[in-house]
Formats: sequence, C-alpha cells, structure tokens
Amino acid sequence: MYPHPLLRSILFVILLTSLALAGCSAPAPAVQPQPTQAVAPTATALPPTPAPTPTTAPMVLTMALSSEPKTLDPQLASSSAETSLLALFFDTLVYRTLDNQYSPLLAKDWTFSDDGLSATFHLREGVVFHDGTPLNADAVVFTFQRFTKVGSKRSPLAGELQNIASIEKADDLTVTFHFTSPSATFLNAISQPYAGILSPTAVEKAGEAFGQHPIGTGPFTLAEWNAGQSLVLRPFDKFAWPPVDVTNPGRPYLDRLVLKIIPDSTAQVNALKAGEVDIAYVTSADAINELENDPNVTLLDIPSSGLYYLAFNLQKPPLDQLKVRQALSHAINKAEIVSIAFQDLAKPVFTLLPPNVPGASPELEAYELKYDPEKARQLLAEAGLTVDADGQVLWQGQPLRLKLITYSSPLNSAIATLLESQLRAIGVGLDVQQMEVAGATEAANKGQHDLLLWRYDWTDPDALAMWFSSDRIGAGNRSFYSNPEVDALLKQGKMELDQSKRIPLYIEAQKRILQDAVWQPLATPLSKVAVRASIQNLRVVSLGRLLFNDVTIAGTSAP
Amino acid sequence: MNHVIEWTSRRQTDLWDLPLPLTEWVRARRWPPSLLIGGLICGLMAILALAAPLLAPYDPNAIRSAERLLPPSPAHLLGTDRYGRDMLSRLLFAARLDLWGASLAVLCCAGIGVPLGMAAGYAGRWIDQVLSRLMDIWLSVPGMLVAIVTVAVLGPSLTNAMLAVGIMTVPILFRTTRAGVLACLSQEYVESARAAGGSHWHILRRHILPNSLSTILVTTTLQYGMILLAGSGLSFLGFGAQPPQSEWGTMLAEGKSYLHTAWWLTLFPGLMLALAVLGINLLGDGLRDLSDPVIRRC
Amino acid sequence: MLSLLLRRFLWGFLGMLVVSLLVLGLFHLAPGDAATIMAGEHGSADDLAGLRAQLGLSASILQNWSGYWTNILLHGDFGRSLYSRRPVAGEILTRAPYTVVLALAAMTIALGLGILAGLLAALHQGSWLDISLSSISVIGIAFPRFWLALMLSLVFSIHLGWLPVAGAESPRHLILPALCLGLPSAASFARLVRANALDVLHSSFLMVARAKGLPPALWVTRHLLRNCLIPTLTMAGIHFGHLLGGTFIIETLFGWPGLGRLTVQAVLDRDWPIVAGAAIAMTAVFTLINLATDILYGLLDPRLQAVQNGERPA
Repeated sequence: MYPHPLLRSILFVILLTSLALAGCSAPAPAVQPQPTQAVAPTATALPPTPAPTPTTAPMVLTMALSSEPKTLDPQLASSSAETSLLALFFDTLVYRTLDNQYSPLLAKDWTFSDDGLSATFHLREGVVFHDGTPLNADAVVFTFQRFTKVGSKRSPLAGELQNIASIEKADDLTVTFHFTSPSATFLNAISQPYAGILSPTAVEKAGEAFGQHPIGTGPFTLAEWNAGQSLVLRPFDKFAWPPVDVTNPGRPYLDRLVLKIIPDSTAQVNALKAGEVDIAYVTSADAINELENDPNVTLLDIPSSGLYYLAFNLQKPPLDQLKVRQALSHAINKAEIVSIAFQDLAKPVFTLLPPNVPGASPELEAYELKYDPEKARQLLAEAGLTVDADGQVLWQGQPLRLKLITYSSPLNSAIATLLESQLRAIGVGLDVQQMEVAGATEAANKGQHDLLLWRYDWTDPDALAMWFSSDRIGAGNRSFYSNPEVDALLKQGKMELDQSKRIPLYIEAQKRILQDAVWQPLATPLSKVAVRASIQNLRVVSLGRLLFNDVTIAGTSAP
Repeated sequence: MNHVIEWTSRRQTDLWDLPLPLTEWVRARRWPPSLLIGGLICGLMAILALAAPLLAPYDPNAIRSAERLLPPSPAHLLGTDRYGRDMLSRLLFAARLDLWGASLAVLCCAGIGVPLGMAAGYAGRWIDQVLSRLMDIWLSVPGMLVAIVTVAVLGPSLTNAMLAVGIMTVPILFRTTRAGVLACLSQEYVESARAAGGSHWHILRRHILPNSLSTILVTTTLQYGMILLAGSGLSFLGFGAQPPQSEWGTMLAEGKSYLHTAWWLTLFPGLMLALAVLGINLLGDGLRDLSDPVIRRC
Repeated sequence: MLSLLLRRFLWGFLGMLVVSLLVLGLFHLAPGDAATIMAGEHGSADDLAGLRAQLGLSASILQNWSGYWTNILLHGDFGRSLYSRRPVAGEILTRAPYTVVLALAAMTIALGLGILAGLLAALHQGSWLDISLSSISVIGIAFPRFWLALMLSLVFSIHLGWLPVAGAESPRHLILPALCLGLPSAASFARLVRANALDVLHSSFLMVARAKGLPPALWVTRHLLRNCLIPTLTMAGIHFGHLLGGTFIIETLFGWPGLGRLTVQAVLDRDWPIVAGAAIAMTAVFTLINLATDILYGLLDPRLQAVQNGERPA
C-alpha cells in the first residue's frame, strides 16, 4: 500500500524546509549581560558597602531611541538624535538651567570684560577625560580651534564661532576668548551639546573615527555600539563634576545604560508596556491616554522649546500684499489645530519665539492676528481680490490656489489638512505638497512655496536672526523678508550683553515682524516621556534632555 | 500543409476565434466560480469608484469638529474620522483614487515588461543577455530612490507614487514573461509550427502569447495587488496622496494611533484594500482557469 | 562551466558599473543633497556652498563616478558615509547577516507553506480544500504587511507576551518579522504553484504517466513538482533578491537592523556612498542568484540544457 499522495507531498516539502533551515544560523546575541555588583556610592570617606547578594540584578536602564545617531562627534552632529545623547559623553564649559540661567560646569567661574570683547573662564580642578588625560586650557583651546577647522560649517553654532578672533591660554586652568564684536549669545552657544570639550589625545589618536569612540568628560562612556541595534553605555567611574540640577556628586548609580533603537513609535510604546524598555518619548494622545491608566508607567512632562509656524513667501504675489497675508492669518483657527491635529498636546502661541525663551513676551498678544473669517474676507476684498459665484476668491481671473510645502510627518499632515479646510472656508484653495526632509528643505530654500509649514526649536532669541534677517535670504529666511529696521534691531540684540536691555530689542523686532504678517505662529508642542515606575529620580531638563546621574531602579540594589 | 497549421492552431487556441454567436459561446463555456466572484467584486468596486460623487452622502473633505470619532451609526454608516469627516464618503473617493492610480501603474508596468520579456525570451542571443542584465541592474537600484526621484520630477501625488512602484516592478513582469516564453519555445509544438514555415510574428501571436498568457495574467494581477499595497505604503510614509485627499493607505496611517479606541478607522480601509486585491486576484485566477481546458500548457 | 562563470562575472561587473552610475544620476535628479540636510536651516548660502565642496557634492556625476571606481579598484575602498565617516563596506557587511537571516527565514516559510498549499489546491482542484486554500492565499496577499505586523505584535507580544516586541538579540526576535515577511509571500507562491501545477496536470505527458499506472507519489514528485517548480524558482529567485535588499517597513516596525533600513535612511539622508554600495551589493547578489537558478534549471529540466551551458541566461 503506497503512502497517500498528500502525505508524500508533505514529507517532500518538510525535507526541503529542513534542508533550508539547516543552512540557517541565527545571529549571535549582540549584547552579553554581565552580572556586576551594584555599589552604592557615598559622599563620606566610608568604604563602599559590598553588594548584598550574588543574585542581585545589575541596574540596567534601557531607553528607546527613534533613530540611530550617525556620529557622536559633537562638532559633526547634525540631528536631534545625536544632540540629545552628546551630553552623556561630553560636558560643556557652562550649564544652562531650565530658567535660562547659566551655572558652572567645566568652568567654575567666568568674567566678561566691560567692552564685551573678551571673556575669561577659570576651569575646574581635578577633571579628567574618559581616557585619563586631564582637562586643561590646552584641551579647551584645541576643541574650539578644531571647531573652526572641521566643524564650523555643519554646526548651528557656525556663525557664533566666526566671531571669535582668538583664544588664549593664560595658564593651565584659565582660557580667554577674544571676540571681534560683543556677543550676547556666546554663553548660550557654549552651553549647547555641540560645544562639548574633547580630549585632544583621543582626537589625535582616533582621527576620523572619533565620532564612533567619543572621549569626553561626561558621566557615561561608550562601551559598545551595535550598529542598527543599540548603544551600551557605562558610567564613568571618576566622574565628580555634575551640573547644578543633580544631587549625586559622583558617578551615576546605574551599572549600564542601554539605548535601544526602535524607529516606530507604536513599537516603542509596546516595548515599554512589555518591559523591554524603561523609557520612551510619547507624542500621540492615544498612547498617552493608554499609558496614563497603566500603573507600571509614570508620565513626565517635557518643557517645550519648539514652535510650529506658517511662513508666507513674500516674493510670490499676491502674498506680497500685506492685506492678503493678514487675511490668510485671520483665517487660521489655532484652537482647532491644537485640539484636532495636536490632540490637545500643544498650546497656541502668538509669539515668534518658543514660550520658554526670553523675549516670548505676553505683550505681543496684542499683535496677534486672531481667528476671524469675516475679517479675512473683508481684507481680501480690500486688497482687490474678487469672489466668484461659488465663493471662490479670484486672482487674476483664476481661482486662487496657494501651494503649501512641508516635510512629511503625521503631525504636519494633520495640520495641513486643517489649514486646507480653514482656507477653503474663506474661498482660498490650498495645494499641499509634503516631501521628505531633503526635498522639502531644498524647495523651501529655493522659494518654491507660497506657504511653508515648519517647526523649529531654539533656546535663545537670536533665533529670530536666522529666520528674519535679510542676509539669511535663501537659507533660513524662507519668507524672503527684508526689513532694515528689523535687521538693525537683531544685530543690536546680538551684541547687547545687558539682558535688561537686550530682551526689549527682540520684543521690538517681533512687533515689527508680526505687524508685517510674515509668519503666523501656530502652536508649541507638549510632549511627555513615559517611564516605568521602578525608575526613580529621572530628571527632565532644558530642550527635553534627560539627566541620569541620580537614577536608581527599584527592585535592584538601590542605595 | 496550411490546413495542418490551421487545425493545430484552432485546437489549441480557439479562444481567439469566435465561430459561434456570442450567446452560444457564453453558454458553451464552463465558467469558473473564481472568475464570477472576482468579476463581481471588481465590477462592484469599479462602479463604486466611478459613481463615488453620486453615492457619497457627504463631502469627503468637510471637517466637522463636533462629529469627530463617531462610531458607525445611521447618520454615518461607517463612522467618522478624527476630523469629523464621513468615513463612507472618504472610502468611496479613496477607491476612485487608488484603483485609478494602480490601474495606470499596472498598465505601464505590463506595457513595458511583457513585450520586453517576450522579445528577450523569443529573440534570444544578445538581446536576451542585454535586456536581462538591464533588468537585474534595475532591480538592484533601491526602490525608495526611484520613488523619491519620480515624485520629485513629476510632483507628489498618489498616481505618481504608484507609477514609481510600477516602474520598479517592470523587471518582475519581464522575468516571468520571459520564463513563460522560454518554457514554451522548447516544445515540439512550436518547433513544428516553425518547420511548417510560420513567420515569427505569427508564432508569437498565435502560439506563444496565448500559451504564456496564464502566467502573465496571474503575475499581472499579483502585481496589481502589490502596486496597490505599495502605493498605500508610500502614502503611509508621506510620499503619495497629499492631504486632504482620501486614500486607503493614508486612512490606515491615520487610524493606526487609534487602534484601541476607534477600530472603525482601520477596519474599513483595510477591508476595502483587501477586497480590491482579492477581487483582482480572483479575476486573474478565473481568467487563467477559463483558458485552462482550452489552452494546453505547451 | 568555466566559461559560464567567467561570462557571469564579467556581466556582473558591468552591471555594477552601470548601477553605480545610475544611482549617482538619480541622486543628481533628486532635490536636495547631504549638505542641505546638514546645514539646511542654520547655515547661510555660503556655508552651504562650502559644505558641498567639502563633501565633494559639487563635482559632476562622471567625476564622482570615476573617482568612486578608482578608489575601489586601486584601494578596495568603497567610500565612507558622508555623515558618520564609517567605511561603507563595513556598514553594509555589519547589517548584511541580519538581512540574510531574515530573508532565509521568510523564504523558508514562504516556499514551504506556499508549495504545500499550491500543490494541495491543484491536486484537489474544485474541491472545498482548493477553494478554501485559494481564498486564504488570495486574502493573504491582500494584507498590508504593516497591518499584519501590528496585529501579530498585539497578539503575541502584548497580550500573550510570548515574543519580544523589537530588536534582534536572540533567535526569538526573528519569529515575528519572518512571519510578517513570509506569510504574504507564501500566499503569492501558493497561487503561482497552483497555476503551474494545474497546467502540468492537464498536460499530455502527465496524463500518459498517470495512465501508465504510476503511483501518485511518484508522478507528483517526479513529474508534477519538477515541472511546475521552474517558474516558481524564477519567482523565488527574484523574491529572495528582494528580501535581501531588505524590507524597510518590517525592519522599522520590529527594530531589525537590516539593509532595508540602512538603504532607505541613506536615501532620505542623501548619503550616496552607502546607497551606491548597497546597489552594488544587490547586483552581486542577483548575479549569484541567477547563476544558482540557471544551474538548478539545467538540473530540473533537461530540455533547458542550453541554459545550463550558458548559451542563454535563465
């Protein structure tokens, strides 16, 4: 009796399959967990207490990253994926607190000369790099000189450094900067992650590969980089110079910090719920609602420093007419955008600067072009645009259709949908063109848009110069706006070291720009970071950065 | 000798000759169920797509803040989305956009791939070598790059995104057509036709094409489904349909964050997409089955 | 045989030359470049121009292309990423094993299930088995892969907790991505195998074999399987090549560190050395796959000896 033909087929296929599987071998596990003893550091001279039991789990914190950093060289970093991590490896001379004050970090104090043309920094003693070499004036000079050679064009701090005439080492722990003109933005610039101080020995040794082996003075060192998967960090044993927001005077309590790369936001939330990661940034209201009810997860607010805006291209008629721009601005319903597109995870804004930046003043509310469709229609009529029988606005005999360019993202998609509907309500057609970032940036720089929907994050009012000064036309100034008065105010603001005089200059500049209806600022996003309840003492600081120095994990050997 | 050729041709390929009146021809055939079901689904989809402006109860782009995220109800048969737009209307217009874009793309893809594949398979020699290598090279180019350039040159829209996907899948149709032609060529059947003095064109049209038709049909319908899904995928990533156009892929993307709370946002677009792909594949299956008892594999 | 290998190698090399030129050309057509992304908003127009010159992006296509190949032929250096300055060859070779493993696993599922289902459906054409298998396979094609990924993730990772959500640290991490890739492909293969098997089933030589009294076991394996595997093999070759190129969406959803994510990210970042390297790698892989399928063809179908002898490509 021959076996059933079906059975034979199955057997044949199983044979094929097992042959194929035999050729398969799964990749070896990339991360080998090393059981280590968790030692509780104390501020006294007592010897550290020995680890409680051999079976104690090491304190490993896993955080989800949305995209993999390409380089960890502060002077070559170009994306937020990278800058958010730089402070783990590198320290800067000064530290910027949440209320925009500057406190000592690697520099214990500093003085500016009266004319503002020089600044002297005294470095902290006893600081060493991860490779054991000491932090001294040579290292600082080296860092900034390398910046001008290698990094200046790529970094947002390019313009700042062009203002430095020379850097001088007074003694081993003192550095003096000489400027060509006074710069009120210098302290902010050197407090940014890009200005992290590098170890000259390490840079010389590594050459181009420095970005893969970052050596700085920061609280963590890079132990492993598994391409595409994760980065494993270990605390720097000799670390003893934390910023003012940290209570732990020494090395971080964690044994390991794992940064796991999970590009999809839904997957990140799922990984958090499943316990595969301990920290994840959450931006969707649905996820936040879900996690709010989860007893294992805490949600921390992130102070916002971002601004979504709608920019008009003043080169494109009829947007060259003030009344048309005002009309379009009045047609925008920010409350609707916040509630539907941002799902209430944002606040509407009327300033051109993000809310926590000095210069984002409440007195600018009087200049806001509020939602008023009637006024919008009226202004269009005053500008000489007629309306046809269907209610469509006509421009040169044709129904008016404006082109909106933005980069692809679900949020931009949502905002654009609402903008289209709001403009349609006053009879203006909107053609939305979403492109990937490179394409959208190129198109924006070339001025191919009528309207531009974009976002920016910055901590200093000098940001206005990037978007509104006439020498930035074709680069940051995508509105092609040129106003000599504004230019003068912005230049002055950059050089005015006295904060009480400086801020009013920027407020004045914003008033002019708002009156010219160059932008309609929309909203500032509020996001949260979700943390598993066992993680304690995590701090969120300026620009959404996280401080891990104080973090301990409940259920492991905590101090 | 001619009558021999005629007889062999007729016996193998009488799909092309219609000696009987149409009604008798219809009744004489054995209609496979997959053809009927597939045809029904496709026909229904086509009607829905074409008649969308007439059938849609609401304006698909009308935003109603007060009616956001409503579950299916008599007023809104398939619920509303996060902007308060009626899902049923949006799905109908999405059908229009998606089916039209995919049809165009598939026609493009087949229009280039099938003739090239036949030429390569039949002509052989260096034509075959060159074309095959070109197609391999084409397959090696990352699809995303082609999509970006196509969209950059032609402008971002769903049709252009699907066209890009169609261009990227030309090699697949090329290869399968060529394989089908090759398998046919080595049959005694074709050799006898050649020996009998048939011209290249005659052989291609009368013998090769009908007999490789089954593989071509199945692959083309598979590609339609793939193009439809890929086009939706590109829209999902932001390259295809622009807001506020309704398109199945973008609807799925928007609904992704509401999986738990508003199931209707993802269920219905997903169903429509699946139904469209199902229909066209069943149609392909049916066409293949229809020609099966008549056209013997070489 | 030797002449076949030599010819294939030459054609492969020519292919690599052409594909890299094509990639450079496409990058040229695409709006924006790496400098736009790096300096885009913050830099002035001069900064952008300087950056472009520094990265070599202001040179013409031919200059870049000839410089690129000179580097490869003289130094074996496939260039460096414009962002990380890491060697391209290293980047690709680090990710390649992950993509290969995922592709093999998906292929196993696809071929195994697909051939089984297709044969069963064809052997029992018209029966309920056929109809249900055909429907399942057709529905299986209709599912968007990310939909499948979301559903499987929801069920197996969140609700049941059996399988991990993301990453590639252990063999268990392979299961969900391989299923998401393999199941829809299994559906395609099932349909193709069914179509071909039906063709063969109705052919004269098979009817003769059956009439001769050959037991089903024999004629299924010896005649049916062999003959309908040929077009399936073509499809499998292409499919495998595609899978090796990486599937971006699955890799993104499951955090799988493969070539798909690398290449797509490089395209979006306009990092042309990586994309050129990936395209060349794909050409090499396709050349190898074609060679393998050609040899297999010759083994399966003696009538295609011409193919095996290298007179015609497969």
